[in-house]
Amino acid sequence: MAGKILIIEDTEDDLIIIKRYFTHAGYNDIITADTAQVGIRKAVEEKPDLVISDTLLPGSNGFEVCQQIREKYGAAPIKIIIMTGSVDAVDAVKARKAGADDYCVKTSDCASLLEAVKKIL
Amino acid sequence: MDDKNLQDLEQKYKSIAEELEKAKEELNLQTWGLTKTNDAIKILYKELEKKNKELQKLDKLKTDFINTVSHELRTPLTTIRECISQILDGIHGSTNDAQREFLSICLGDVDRLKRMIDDLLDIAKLEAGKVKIARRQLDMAGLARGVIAAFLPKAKSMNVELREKFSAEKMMVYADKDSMIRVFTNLIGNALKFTNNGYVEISVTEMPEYIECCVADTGRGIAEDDLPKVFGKFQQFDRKEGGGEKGTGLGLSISKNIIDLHHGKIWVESKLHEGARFIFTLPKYTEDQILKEHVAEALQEAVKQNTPLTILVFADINSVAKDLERLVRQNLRHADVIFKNTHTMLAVLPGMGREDAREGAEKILAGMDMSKGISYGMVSFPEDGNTAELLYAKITQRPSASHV
Amino acid sequence: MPKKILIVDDEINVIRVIAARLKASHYDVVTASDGLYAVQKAHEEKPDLIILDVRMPVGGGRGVFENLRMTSDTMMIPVIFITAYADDDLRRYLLEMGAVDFVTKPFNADELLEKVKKALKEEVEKKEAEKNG
Repeated sequence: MAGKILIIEDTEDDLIIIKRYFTHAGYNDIITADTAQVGIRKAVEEKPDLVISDTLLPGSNGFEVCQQIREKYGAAPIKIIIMTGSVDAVDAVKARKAGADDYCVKTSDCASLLEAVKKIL
Repeated sequence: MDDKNLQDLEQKYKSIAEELEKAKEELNLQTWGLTKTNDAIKILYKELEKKNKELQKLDKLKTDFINTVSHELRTPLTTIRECISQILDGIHGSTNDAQREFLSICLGDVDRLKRMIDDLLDIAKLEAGKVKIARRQLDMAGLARGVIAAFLPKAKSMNVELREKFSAEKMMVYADKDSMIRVFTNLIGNALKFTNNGYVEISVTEMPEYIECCVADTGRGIAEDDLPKVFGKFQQFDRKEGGGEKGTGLGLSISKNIIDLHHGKIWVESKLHEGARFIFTLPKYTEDQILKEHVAEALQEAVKQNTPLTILVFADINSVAKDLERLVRQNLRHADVIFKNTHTMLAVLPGMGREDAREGAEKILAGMDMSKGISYGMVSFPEDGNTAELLYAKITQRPSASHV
Repeated sequence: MPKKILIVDDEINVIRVIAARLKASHYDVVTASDGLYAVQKAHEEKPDLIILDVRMPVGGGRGVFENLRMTSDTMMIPVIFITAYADDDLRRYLLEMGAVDFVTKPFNADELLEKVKKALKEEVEKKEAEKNG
């Protein structure tokens, strides 16, 4: 399946699970970052088709990351999904306003996340 | 002039239309956010249910494992023990001294293996939360005396004095009898193992908020480095030769587990060559607290098993209390009978709904000679509440309830 | 006349070992290693006591027990259960159903023999009482 995906997640256990389910679903081109800074840099340098970022990151958050990527990328067709372990209606709106294409909940089988990715890519 | 007015109006209209557009967008966004969240919550609920089922499965696996291991290990042990024992008893022909000596060594270790399996399984059960302790009001001084008496012959043969020091003749504590006997047996047994001469003193002291029990000995003591390991599993420190069966190294771990279950504390004070003091405390419970705890435990089980729970409150029982208790225990097998005071008795009935409880109560009262004067009320889960507080409040609220 | 005891356990070794012990104490012994066979033997031999393992394939100790309780010529035979684990609920149930006693594996020979003696004595006393009363 087409699509380079950048995953920005600082919790190692969660990252391992996500990578496992994504590779199993056929997404083999995955790059990762565990801080906002590295994430934004990689987004610009490696030009992924999709960026998935956790809401909570050391010293920053997913909305910041999203905003920064939009600023640096301008109108480029990079898609962004913000994911969270604790879903919140206010955050959902915030995600959209920050420029995200979707807002997803993290589950142990990544089902919801994968569904959103399928729709986007 | 008209033109200007028209332009103004047009402007106002445009700006209102723009604001309306913006508001509509915002509303759409908020709706999207709420829908997303709603869907996500549903997904998370399913996840929770799935995890719950997995946990239940694991729990059952643990129990099955404990039971299977128990059975599988004990069976060959039975045949081994019996074979050796029978040969030693001469059932299969005569044996010479050397054969008997070595067979006895075998037997000793078979028994030790049995004790280890028993202890290991006890620990597994305790740690898996599968041990149900039955706490009741009991006299700790009396219980301690009983255990001390059992150790007297052994202490005498070892020339070690057993002393007792109780702050009162009788000291009531809320605990499980068998567990407490086990803890005392473990501590006194250990003390004797490590004491060559001198004494082992068992003291029970009543403090305002708790009861403190201490087993102190004049034995070889425990090195500072070893102190933190004392309650760990399979810890056996050097002990003098002879002096009875070898331990399993699990006794103190089990004792600690038991005291933890009782919400108490256990610790050791010792210096090498200066004896050791093993101390444990048990909190004191008021009658109300005990009652609440019984209800809370029964409720927890009911919620876990998804079964109802009914509590029968018998009021004005006074002189017929004993008969009533007997009838309750006869007719309602699994009832947990608690006396709130001299005129109120509660029967906690796990797994029983209101109708079954009512039937039971009527049957009991019919069997009483003087059923007049005694009344009963019912408090049940889920009808009367789903927390221990709610149920307890309803129970205490019934002064003398009439037939319901 | 020596008393006859039926031993039921799916492990041949357990049967052999208990049989040896009982024979040395002058009891007659018959054996069965599965539930169906056990019921058959009970009817054929009419033992004075049955020692029954709780966990067995084909029939299971509990099943055998319930079966025997339902037929008139076997329901009065006292039964001692052998169990490996102290399952309180199971014990309570079986005692309520009429089992006379329990031994837990691994058991002492003395414990088993004492319980056997006690069960047989009680049986005799019961029969006497019925005759007289």
